[in-house]
This record gives sequence, C-alpha cells and structure tokens, in this order.
Amino acid sequence: MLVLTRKKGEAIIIGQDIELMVVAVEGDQVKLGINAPKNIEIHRKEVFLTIQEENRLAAKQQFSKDILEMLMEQRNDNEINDKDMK
Amino acid sequence: MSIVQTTRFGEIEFKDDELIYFPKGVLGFEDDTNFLLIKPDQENPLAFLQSITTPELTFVVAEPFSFYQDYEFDIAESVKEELEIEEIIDVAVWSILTIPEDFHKATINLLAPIIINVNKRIARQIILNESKYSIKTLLYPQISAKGGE
Repeated sequence: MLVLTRKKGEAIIIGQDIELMVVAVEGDQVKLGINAPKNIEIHRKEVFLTIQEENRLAAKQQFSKDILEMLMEQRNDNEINDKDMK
Repeated sequence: MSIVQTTRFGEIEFKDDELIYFPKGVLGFEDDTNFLLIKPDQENPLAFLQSITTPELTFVVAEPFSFYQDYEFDIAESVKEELEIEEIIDVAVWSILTIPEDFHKATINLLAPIIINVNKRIARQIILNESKYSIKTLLYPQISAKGGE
C-alpha cells in the first residue's frame, strides 16, 4: 500500500483519471472529494465488503428444492392475513 | 441444448440463449460469469440463479417489488451503458435472499439488487447509494411483528 500524507486542500491523482482530494479534516473525520470517470464505481469499503459477505452467506445456506413454494405459500398467507385485518 | 451440473438440482438442460452473462460476476463470486435464471413458476416472483461454472453456487432470488411495493432506485447512466439498457422494459430486477434454517426469517438484500437486461442477456449486481435500504431486510416483516421476536 502506498501511504502519503496530505493536508486539507491537497490532492492525489490515481492513474490519469482519478483524483482524490482532502476536502476537510474535522476531528477524526476526513472528508474526501473524488473526481473519477462515470464508469468507475466508488463505495465505502465496508459496504462493499458487507455485500460480498452477505452474498457468500446466501450461497452457503442449505435449502430444499421446495423452498420457492414454501416462500410463496408464506407470502400468500401473509397477504390473506393482511386483507383480513383491514 | 446444453447441460449444466448442479449440486441441488442434478443435471439441468438449457438453451444457450437462456444464459445470462455477468461480466463482473456477482460480489464475492467474480469468476462466475454465466448464470441461469430458473423460474419454475412463471407467475411467482421467486427463482433460482444458478452458476454454470460452479455446481454448488445457487442463489435464491426474488423480485423485490413483489414484497416491497415502495422499493425504488435509479440506475446510474454508467450501469445503463454497461448493460446496454435502452428502455425500462429491457430491465428485470432480482434480489438475493439469505435463507436461514427457519425460512420465515429469510432476508432480502435491497441494497445490492441484480439488474438484468433481459433482451441482451447481460447482468450485474449494483450497490445502491440510497442508504435507506438494507442488506438484510426481512422478507416477512409481518411475522416478526406478530411474534414479537
């Protein structure tokens, strides 16, 4: 990992098209501004990692072949109950 | 017709034009670039997303709008370009379900839906910027409300 020290207002260029700027520093929070081509996606790392993890969890689960029917039945039951309550 | 080996369903036959190409795979499974959407009941908003290359990789997916009518989001221009989406009718949205042992506690990932261009058969999973949506939304919130769990 390349580690650089920047002050507020200073920036970094990644490749030729991506710019990262330190917009503000408030206590232990650093506000970053990013200029990048529209096709480059930018996300908070923990969001990205959490989704990866959730996908892996979803893929690992055991479920029976009837799961779709079971899920649908429950949904239909819920709909009927909702209507009854109204 | 081609055949794919799957862990849960055994051998499945399919036509090549049924394949869906995920250039970037799915988050956590970037090498799985070809999937089949197996929808046993055309009327129901539930299906399996089966990897062609990994027999044990099967996701249970649901059409999110069938469970959450108010669900809405924008598709970024860059994603529209990537998936060659020209009209809204080209788009199908599926969300991955996480199903624990008690399937009543199933959750749906509303933060990272799968967008499919059904005409071009290209797809990808996107991450929404709207943080009002959660990765683990209960599929049946009514049950928890009643059970008081």
